[in-house]
Amino acid sequence: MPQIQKTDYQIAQQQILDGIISGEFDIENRRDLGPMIPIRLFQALRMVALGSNVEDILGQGAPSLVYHSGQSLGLAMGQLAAANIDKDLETYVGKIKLLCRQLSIGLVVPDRVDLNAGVLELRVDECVSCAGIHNVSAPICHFEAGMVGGIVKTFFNRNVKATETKCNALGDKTCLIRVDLI
Amino acid sequence: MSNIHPLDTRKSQSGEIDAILRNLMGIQGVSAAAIVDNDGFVTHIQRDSEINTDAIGASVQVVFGAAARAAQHVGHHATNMVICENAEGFILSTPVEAGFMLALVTQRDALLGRVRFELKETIPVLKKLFSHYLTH
Repeated sequence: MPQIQKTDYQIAQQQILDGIISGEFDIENRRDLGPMIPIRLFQALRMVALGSNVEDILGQGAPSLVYHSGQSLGLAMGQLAAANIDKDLETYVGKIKLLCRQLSIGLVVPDRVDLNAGVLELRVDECVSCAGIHNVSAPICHFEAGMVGGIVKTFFNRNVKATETKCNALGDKTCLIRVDLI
Repeated sequence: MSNIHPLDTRKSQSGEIDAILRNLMGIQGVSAAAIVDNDGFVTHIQRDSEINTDAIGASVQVVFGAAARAAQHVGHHATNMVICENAEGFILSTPVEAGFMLALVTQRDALLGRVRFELKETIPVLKKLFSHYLTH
C-alpha cells in the first residue's frame, strides 16, 4: 500500500484536535498572551476567512465547506465525550455541554429529544460565531450546525442532517439546531 | 425565526426521487447518482460501491460553487452543469432547486454525451418534484 503523505494543514489539524481531545487547553509559545483570544478575532476567522472570503471563491459551495469543517470538530468532540460513558446519552450531553463551555463555543441546552421521531433539537445560547451580529437574512452558523451534527453522529453512529432553524443573528436570541437521524 | 424548510428525507415521496436515481444508474458506466443539499449533505443516493457520502456531498457543492464563480468572472452567467474529467471517470453535477444538486459519478467507459443528455432530461422532472416538496 502506498503511504499517503499528510498535508501541513492535516498535520496542524491533528495537533489541534489532539489538544482538544486531551482536554489540555494551555498552549506552548503563548507564555504572555495565553490560550484565549478576543471573540471578534474568532468571528473574523469564522465570518471573513471561513465566510465571505470563501464565499467569494466558492459561491454557494461555501456553507458546505463550513458545515463540513464544523462536523470535523464535532466528530472529535464526540470522540472525547463518548469515552468511558457506556453509551449513556445524559452523560454524553453533560460532557458536551461542559466541553462547549470550556471552549467558549456556547451554552448548549437540549431543547427536544424525540428518539422515536429521530429528531433532536439543541439550543446554542451565546453562540461564539454570531454573538453581536444582527440583521442577516438567513441562519449563518453553519459551522455550529455541522459541529452539533458531528457530535450527534458520533453518539448514535448514524448519518445525521443538522439544520440551524433559529439564529441569534436573525434576532432569535439563541441558535437552535435541529438534528434528524437518517 | 428563519423561514427555511428543510426537505424531510424520510417522506414517502422520496421514493420518487430514488426511482429517478435508479433510472440514472441504468445508464452505461454510471456508478453513483446522488442528491446533495445546500449544506453538502447527501439526501438520496444510489451507488454500486461504498462512497464517503459526507466528503463527496461537500466536495460536489464546493466544486460546483467554485466553477460557477469562475464562470461569473468571465461573464458566462448561470452555470448549468459542471463536468469533472478524471483518470478513472467523470463526476457531473447540476443544480436542481433551492441549492439542491444532482451529482453523477461514472466509470471510464461511460459515454459522456449520453450521460449528459440523460442528466439534462432528468433535471426538469426533479425540479418539478422538488418545488412540490419544498412548498408542501
